[in-house]
Amino acid sequence: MNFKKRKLLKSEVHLLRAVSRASIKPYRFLFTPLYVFLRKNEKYLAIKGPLDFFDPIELEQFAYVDSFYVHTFIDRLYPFESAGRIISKILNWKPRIEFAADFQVALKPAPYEISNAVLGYLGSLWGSQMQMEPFFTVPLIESIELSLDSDTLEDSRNLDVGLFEDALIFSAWIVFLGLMLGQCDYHYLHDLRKESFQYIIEGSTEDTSNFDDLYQLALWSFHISKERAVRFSDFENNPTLISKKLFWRLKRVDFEFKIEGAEELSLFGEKGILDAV
Amino acid sequence: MLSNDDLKKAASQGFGLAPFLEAGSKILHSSLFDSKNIGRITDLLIAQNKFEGFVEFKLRLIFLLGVFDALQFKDLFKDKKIEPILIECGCDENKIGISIKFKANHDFSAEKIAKSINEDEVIEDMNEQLMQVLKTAVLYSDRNFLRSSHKAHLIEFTFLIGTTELFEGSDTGLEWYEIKDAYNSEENKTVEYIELGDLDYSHTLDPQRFSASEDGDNNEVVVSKYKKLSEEEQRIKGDKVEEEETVTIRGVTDQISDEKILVKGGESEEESTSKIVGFFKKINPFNKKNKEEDLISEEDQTSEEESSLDLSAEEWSDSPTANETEIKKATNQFGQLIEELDKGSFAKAIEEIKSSATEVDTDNEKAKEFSENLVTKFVQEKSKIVEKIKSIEATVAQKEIEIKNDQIRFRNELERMQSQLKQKNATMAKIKDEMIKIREEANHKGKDQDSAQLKGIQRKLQQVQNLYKAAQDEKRILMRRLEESKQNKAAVTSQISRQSNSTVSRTELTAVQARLERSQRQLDEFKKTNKNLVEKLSDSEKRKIPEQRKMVELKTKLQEAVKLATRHKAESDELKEATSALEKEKAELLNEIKLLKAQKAA
Repeated sequence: MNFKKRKLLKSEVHLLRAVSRASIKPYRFLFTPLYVFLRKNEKYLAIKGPLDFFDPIELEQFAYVDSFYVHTFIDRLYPFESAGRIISKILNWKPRIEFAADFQVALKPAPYEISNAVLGYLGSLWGSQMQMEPFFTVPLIESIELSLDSDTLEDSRNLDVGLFEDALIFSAWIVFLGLMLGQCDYHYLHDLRKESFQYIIEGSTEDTSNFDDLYQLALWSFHISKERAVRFSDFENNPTLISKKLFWRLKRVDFEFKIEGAEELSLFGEKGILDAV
Repeated sequence: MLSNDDLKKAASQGFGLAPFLEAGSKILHSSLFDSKNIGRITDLLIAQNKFEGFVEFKLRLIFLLGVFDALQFKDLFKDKKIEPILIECGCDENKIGISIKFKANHDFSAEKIAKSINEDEVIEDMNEQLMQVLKTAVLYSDRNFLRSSHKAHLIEFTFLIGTTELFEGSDTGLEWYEIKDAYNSEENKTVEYIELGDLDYSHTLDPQRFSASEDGDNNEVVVSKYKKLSEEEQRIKGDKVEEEETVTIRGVTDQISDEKILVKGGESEEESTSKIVGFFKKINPFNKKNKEEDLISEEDQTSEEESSLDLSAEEWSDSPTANETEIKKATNQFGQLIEELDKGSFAKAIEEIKSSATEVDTDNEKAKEFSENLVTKFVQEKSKIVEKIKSIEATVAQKEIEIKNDQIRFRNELERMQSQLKQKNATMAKIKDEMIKIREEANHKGKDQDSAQLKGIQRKLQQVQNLYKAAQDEKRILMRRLEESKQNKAAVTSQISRQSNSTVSRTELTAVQARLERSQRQLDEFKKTNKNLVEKLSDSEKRKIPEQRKMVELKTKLQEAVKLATRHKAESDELKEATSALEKEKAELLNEIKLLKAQKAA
């Protein structure tokens, strides 16, 4: 990703947040540039970009570093990570069965109960303008622990970094749309993430007209996101059945979960980390 | 109304239930991943649409059979790949529809399935149980459609149940359609899609609500929380009055799209006014004065109520210092207000007005006029209340957002502080680790040093041992020679003493002997020490005693050994000298003997 400010002066430390080396784990994505402090030059130098990760060998090479520094943009991802952790618990919740004297058995929650709970958390992430940049779904989906395996990540990053980033964002975006549509099964979503990631990495030229409608919707909206944030109203204009379903769900989000006056999140702009497209 | 041909055309358009239903219908949809909770989903669908009697039974049966078939087609019972089964349920004036769409995990021929159902044929490759289940579902529904996309492996069963005479006499079996463009079918009809999770299901499935609805009083259509006010109907009806008066208000608020008030009959002005005012008192939680003040006059009171209501609401909505407690309080009050409206306090008040209105002469023009005025006022007041409720709701929502934002900010701050704390702890831990590492390294270095020293000592020891061995050998030789010398000396001495008066000093010989004995003792001692040293050295290696102590001991012992070796060397030198002196003496003695012999011979 073409992020801005690859070097920061010592005086720009207010833009950074220190993280200990121990907190950086291999194959965990970094959502902002990662800097190290060069003492002699008195500058912070970016060694990793957003959506990059360390492999164990790379991490070993920085064993001498006490602290890394990340952009304060990381704070803005907190709601996504927080929602992801809760959704992970909802999706993986198993009822506790108690063999008491009166034989109480806890029922698994119904799909509509899970769907409602999940929408409650996802809804508040849409922002006051009811729009979303697919990048933000990556920390969300990673927090749900729908992660990809380390071999796949390394191989695909070595193949083509641009394609790798696209695949990462698309796979998170499609899972996000699936969750929005009430398809709340952990194993299904995990498979969906892996398959959609491979779909982009392999640069499939397959005719999408024969592809799953969720894929079609995700591809269509992902294409929009290359130019601007995906808006709630976009789904109203798409005539397909799945888009209509999503539109009606978003209508509820607009009414019930939207936080009026909340700051709009964007990768671009003054508070963002990327250069304008 | 959709004709038979329309339905056929709709079926061939694409997937989904929408083409079969009239425009403006609502379609409930959900995604299933396993066979669990099917009963609860069916309950919700039925409760939501208020299906009753045989229709309810048919719907339950068809839904269960359809899902069973889908699960079998998908091999979900064998834990194959998980993909959702999409269900849709909707109804219009004439029919109820259920659609079950899924991706099959194996090849199939939809044409054969349809043929098998319609002509009662057995398909070789097809699961017979599956076909029987499908037949039963077809039997209980009025129109059945099987739409498939062979290319996309998609199947959709659509079952329609007629609620009017629409499908009477039509037994078309299972109609099959191949959909060419499985995913690009456009949805032009204006239908509302509601995911089951978006329903107010806890309220819909509440048994108390069911019992209330049996009375026919509760006309509320529960779709979602935000739609509660969208279709509100209030009825005011006097039992003994035939004429019915209707007031319809449109566009009062965004949420109230169509509000109807039906008024029948009336009551005396005084009673009605007091009741209305009483009701206003009840629904206005912000006006404390109302509890204390009595009615002065009807008109004055009404206007006073209006103004007080406005003031209270304004005070509330404009209050800049409203904190969380106030919001909670207001929310409670608001909730009570809504509850009261929901419970029918409003309707009850109207009922009371209604019952007393029967006593009033309905022909009285004045009473009629008053009634009209009253109703108009009442409606105006109500719309004002709704406005106030909206403004309160907005304020509460705003405050909630502020609190939520504060919470997020505090949480972030807390997280940041925690991370800083963690960082500090990590630094501390790191320092500790480094300290331990330094200590370990120091120990390790010491060990290395020790081992180097040990090697040196061992080498020295080896040298000492070699020296000792050489010294021992030398000593042995010397001792032998000394012995021989002694023997010779003794022999010579005895010979001399016997043959002549010897000139050799006895004292000197005694001294040499004493020295020899002393060196012998020292040698023994040295041997013993050396033996101990070697033993301890080997013991120390075996026992793994602390290296430093061992080193100190070894050093001491080495020093002792070196000292002993030096001493021994000196003594050996002395012995050598003594031996050479003795030999010289011996030679001299021998010369003397020779001289003596020569003298004797001479």
